[in-house]
Amino acid sequence: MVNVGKKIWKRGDLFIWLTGAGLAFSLIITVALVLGIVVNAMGTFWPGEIRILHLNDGSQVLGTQVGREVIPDFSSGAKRVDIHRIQIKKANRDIYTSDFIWVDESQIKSIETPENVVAVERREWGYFFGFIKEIVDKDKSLAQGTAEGLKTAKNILPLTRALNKEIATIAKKEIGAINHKMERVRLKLKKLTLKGLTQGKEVDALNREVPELQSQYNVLEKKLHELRSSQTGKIILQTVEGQEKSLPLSQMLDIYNPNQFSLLDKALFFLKGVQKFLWDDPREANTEGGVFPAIFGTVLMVLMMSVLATPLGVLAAFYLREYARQGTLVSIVRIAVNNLAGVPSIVFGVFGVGFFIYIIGGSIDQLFFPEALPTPTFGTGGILWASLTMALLTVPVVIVSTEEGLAAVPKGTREASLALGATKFETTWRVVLPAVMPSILTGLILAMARAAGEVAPLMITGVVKLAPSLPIDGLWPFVHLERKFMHLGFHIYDVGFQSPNVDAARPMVFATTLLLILMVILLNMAAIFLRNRLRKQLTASAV
Amino acid sequence: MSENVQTKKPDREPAKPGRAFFGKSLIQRQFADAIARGVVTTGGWIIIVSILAILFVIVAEVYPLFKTPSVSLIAEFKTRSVPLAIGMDPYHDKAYAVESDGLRFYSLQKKAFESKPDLPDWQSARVTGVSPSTKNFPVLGLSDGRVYPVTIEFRPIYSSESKRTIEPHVKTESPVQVRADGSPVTLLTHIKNEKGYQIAAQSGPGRVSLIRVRLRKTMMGTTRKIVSQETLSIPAEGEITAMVFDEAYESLLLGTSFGQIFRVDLEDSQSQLIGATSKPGIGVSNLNFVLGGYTLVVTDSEGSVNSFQLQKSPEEKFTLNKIYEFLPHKNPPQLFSYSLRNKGFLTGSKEMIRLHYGTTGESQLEFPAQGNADYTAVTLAPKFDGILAADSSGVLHQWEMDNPYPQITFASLMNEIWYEGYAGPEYVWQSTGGTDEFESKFSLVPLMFGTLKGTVYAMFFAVPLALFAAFYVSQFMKPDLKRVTKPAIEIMAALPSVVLGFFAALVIAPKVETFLPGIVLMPFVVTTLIVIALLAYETFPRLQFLAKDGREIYLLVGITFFGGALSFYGGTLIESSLLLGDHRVWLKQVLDVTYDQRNALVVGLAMGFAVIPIIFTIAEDSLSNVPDHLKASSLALGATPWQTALNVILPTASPGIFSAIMIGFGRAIGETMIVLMATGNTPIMEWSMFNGFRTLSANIAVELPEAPEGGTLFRILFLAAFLLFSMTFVINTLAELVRLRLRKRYQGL
Repeated sequence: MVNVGKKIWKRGDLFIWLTGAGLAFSLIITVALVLGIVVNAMGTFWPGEIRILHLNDGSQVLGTQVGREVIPDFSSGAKRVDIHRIQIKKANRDIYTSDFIWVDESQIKSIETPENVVAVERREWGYFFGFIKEIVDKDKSLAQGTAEGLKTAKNILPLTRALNKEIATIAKKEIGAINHKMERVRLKLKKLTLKGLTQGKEVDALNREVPELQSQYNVLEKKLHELRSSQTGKIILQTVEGQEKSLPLSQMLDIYNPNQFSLLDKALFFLKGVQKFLWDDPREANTEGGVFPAIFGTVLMVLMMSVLATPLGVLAAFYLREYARQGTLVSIVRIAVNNLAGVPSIVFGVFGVGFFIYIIGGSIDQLFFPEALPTPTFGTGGILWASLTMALLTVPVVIVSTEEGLAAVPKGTREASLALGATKFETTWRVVLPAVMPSILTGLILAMARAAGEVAPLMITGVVKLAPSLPIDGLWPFVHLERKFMHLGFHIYDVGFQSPNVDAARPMVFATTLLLILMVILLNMAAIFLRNRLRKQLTASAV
Repeated sequence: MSENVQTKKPDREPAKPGRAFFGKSLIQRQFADAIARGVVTTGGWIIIVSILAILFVIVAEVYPLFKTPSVSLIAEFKTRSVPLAIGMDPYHDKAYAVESDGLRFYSLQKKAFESKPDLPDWQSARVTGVSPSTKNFPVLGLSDGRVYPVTIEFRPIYSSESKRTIEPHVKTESPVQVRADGSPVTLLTHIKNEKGYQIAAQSGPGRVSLIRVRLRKTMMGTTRKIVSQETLSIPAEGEITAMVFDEAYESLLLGTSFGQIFRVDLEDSQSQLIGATSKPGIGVSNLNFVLGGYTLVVTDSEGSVNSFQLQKSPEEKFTLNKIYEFLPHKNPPQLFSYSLRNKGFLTGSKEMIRLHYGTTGESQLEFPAQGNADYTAVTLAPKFDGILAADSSGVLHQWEMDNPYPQITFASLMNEIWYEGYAGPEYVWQSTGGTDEFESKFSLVPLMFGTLKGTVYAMFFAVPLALFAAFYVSQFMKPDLKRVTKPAIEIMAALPSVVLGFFAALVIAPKVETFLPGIVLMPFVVTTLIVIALLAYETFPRLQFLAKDGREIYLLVGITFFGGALSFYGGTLIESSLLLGDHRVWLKQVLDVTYDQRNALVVGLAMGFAVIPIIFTIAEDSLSNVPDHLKASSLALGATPWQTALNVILPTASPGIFSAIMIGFGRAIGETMIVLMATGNTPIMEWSMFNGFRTLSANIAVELPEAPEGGTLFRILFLAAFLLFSMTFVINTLAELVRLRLRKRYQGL
């Protein structure tokens, strides 16, 4: 044994293994992190069974289990590893004060899985778990009991959904359009006043528009009122304690009984959940509903950033490698550009605030939007400034990647082209550029991945927790670059940290996180794949 | 251009003369070439310059903070007689002057006398003493033993061309007789708030007459005035030479010609000696509070200007603690005026007026008297943008001042400062407070400390792991595994920091709290397990198929995983047997350390996670790029792979490893989201790994959205950004230079 020990020490195997353990540890935590996020995120949409816990004190708890942990015991002075407690989501936030409760396992007498139970997704107050007592419409009973009620409710559901959609269209789109027009008229009038025009044809024309819009508004408002009052149906729900809760059917978004779901049903429900998550607007301070505006904002910001950063980065790289005389100055510039990639992102954000928003945006407001002042139009955070800031942040990535590609193009290729009589531009355009295309693409993808994941500079240049409207919509001038926007990364920060109900928000945060890292990882893998192919190609062409 | 588009052909087709993409003739082609050269060159430079412009924009925003305050004399004109007290409106339009025969208004715009308002019940008295007021409520002491309070209002009037003029108005209160014998009132002070005012006037040797006027709103909506008068006798040696009320309406502070300072409680009329001037026997010449009523400025007959804080001990004893000594005057300073915006104040003696700043202890500006004239009155403009002074030759001097950031100096950002209400000098960051009179505390030290603390903990975790991993991957791993491992680590680098921050705060922090002893145990347990495994592996050759040919990583992953689980379990056991059942209780009771859930340890783990791939990639590169023949010759000479790696490869690649660590350090310094989410963001200065901190970067993210543009906070946040920029830029440049040198060295080998 001693000999073995000596041998190990001498050969240094121990140290080799220890260094290996360093790698192993790094890999384990990476995998653990990604797995942790995936598992938690997947659980968000998977319907859990609703159970009744009969407790020792005779009370009952209805809900789904969401967690289990060792009971922390501060008083007795001994951590008891063998005793656990479970976290139950019992929903019904409006009736109980919180939707989550911890139950000691030792307190549970028995667990029952009732056959007839419903989970109702509501427009407000989150979910309701319980039973259906009755469904009524203007004093007429449509159904009684949970089983019958569920069937009826499911039949009604498509109708209410259609109605709700119509209401939403009128309330958001049509009335929104009228408000938008009225605001434009108001600003135009103010602009004329600033010019010194308070009378005349233009002013009269504008003033005539106002009553017209007002009457349109009144018509819509009336229609809206009619639609709203046409929904008279109510569903009377009951908690496990027997407390009743009357819910207008218009408030019901979905109703189901997870205890009767087959595996296929569950899978379908899961997919439906994912779809809702991707396509719906957020509700309840972002803790429910979907993240569509955040996806839209992220994608639009990344695209705008790409459009700005790629040509600029490529131009700079071509200048540095192909056109500039290689000397000390260019070396210094190259080092500076390289280092810029290491400058903290928040510094770029600060620059964006100081330069884009206050200097450029402020001047634009003075010149083109004096009628809206003191409300800033471009002189405040918005998607344009955020994209520009991001572009500046990612330009070094594109430059470095393109330069690497240019350095790898063999000199002979260029010389051959020149020898055939092509000018420098022709050589660059037709020989060098196609050869570095993969490098440019790699740089672009890396830049996109960085921009998608970066939050700190966006926080100060135009991201908000809830944007009232998307930066692109059907209202003139269709693209509103001055608008604030939502972003997946900021959504994680906001929902996870600024939300009043952290337990309820948690699944949403995990799902958003998964979405974001999927985006980023896929982009990165694409870049790695491209780069590897490129390297192979270059080694092949060099031979 | 249109021609170009028309003739565009697929790339593959050979470019035939005359049908070429770039124009037809040679001249056209050369022209296109020249244009392209121009576009690329100018475009390239514009982009490079604009990238580098970042630094200049940030510096330009910071620069005004450190600009020395500037003043310019804009008006000088004669008054009717020598002013004893003066005041002005916020827009520098009108001024008032208390002169010996009453009150006069002057127009600063026209540089001329404007009007002399009638003061009712004046009775041909002369003014013998004034209690001046920045808030335009001077109280005049008259030659016939009365005090006469005057309210001056400057009402803005807007004309049709929206031009603003200021109209001065006077509201008088009824005068009160304080000296029954009718001798003149020379020393008096007062204080006013919305509920009424108080006046104290010396009414004889050691005697002070106190008048309290309380305003009560009646049910009818009118205001009733309740006036009460009493006389305090002060058992002080020497004469009373200065008086001031404290802003809490609780006491009157008195200074004597012997240099003692008394506090007279207004509730029970008890007086108490609370302090003295710095030299015994040097009399107090003036006592005044600056804005907020915390800092007392004491000037003495030798001309020195000192600031004190009045502190109350638990036994209701009051003491004066000296804070700063300001630049002294040659003659006893009798004049004083404080800013209504900040802690700035003016002191004036016959020959000189000085502007001081209470928070920093700095004397910023001086205004020497001209010729033989002595200063007789001075006031600060209400917006802290001007100074008005009058002298004995009856001349009014008006200066305009550009001093927007008086409390910021290099010293005030970096040194300990004794803020109002604190027990001693401290480094404090507290940018906003509840009231207008709040003193903002802008010390960058706690933030820099926080940045350093977070970085150090992150590096502590990341450097060994990343270097071990890089060493292993570059030296001992099979190439086929290497091809999988490296991208895996690169993916790790791509994880957005917001994800790491969220995971750290909501998942890691509670787990660390539960399993802290296990986490501390982990390195030891894993090492022990590896030793045992290695011994077993060597002793039983039959086991060796498990880790053949550099594939021991599979085994190691298993061992590390098992070791981790084991140490968590062991940690729980240790906790219940040795650590009182709960490590937090144990930490508190035995080591007196409080445990915050979001602490430096958690940030260290999460930020370390973000830094590992960066250090790994660069270190691995420099280790792999060591020329092969070095390794081969070492092995050929009989060295084991470990000896080769340690004695040949490592020294050769050490500059690369150094630069890897530097770049990792640079990344950790600027990391924002992880720190923002995984610490409590409290700007405290303790090295303990169990409490939080606030970094420069997180501070910017938190406070910039709320900072008004161009304000002090806004510019200080830009300064923080500048610090981050320069730190990372220097570190990265150093690392880059080291790396370039290393590359040259490899080429030479």
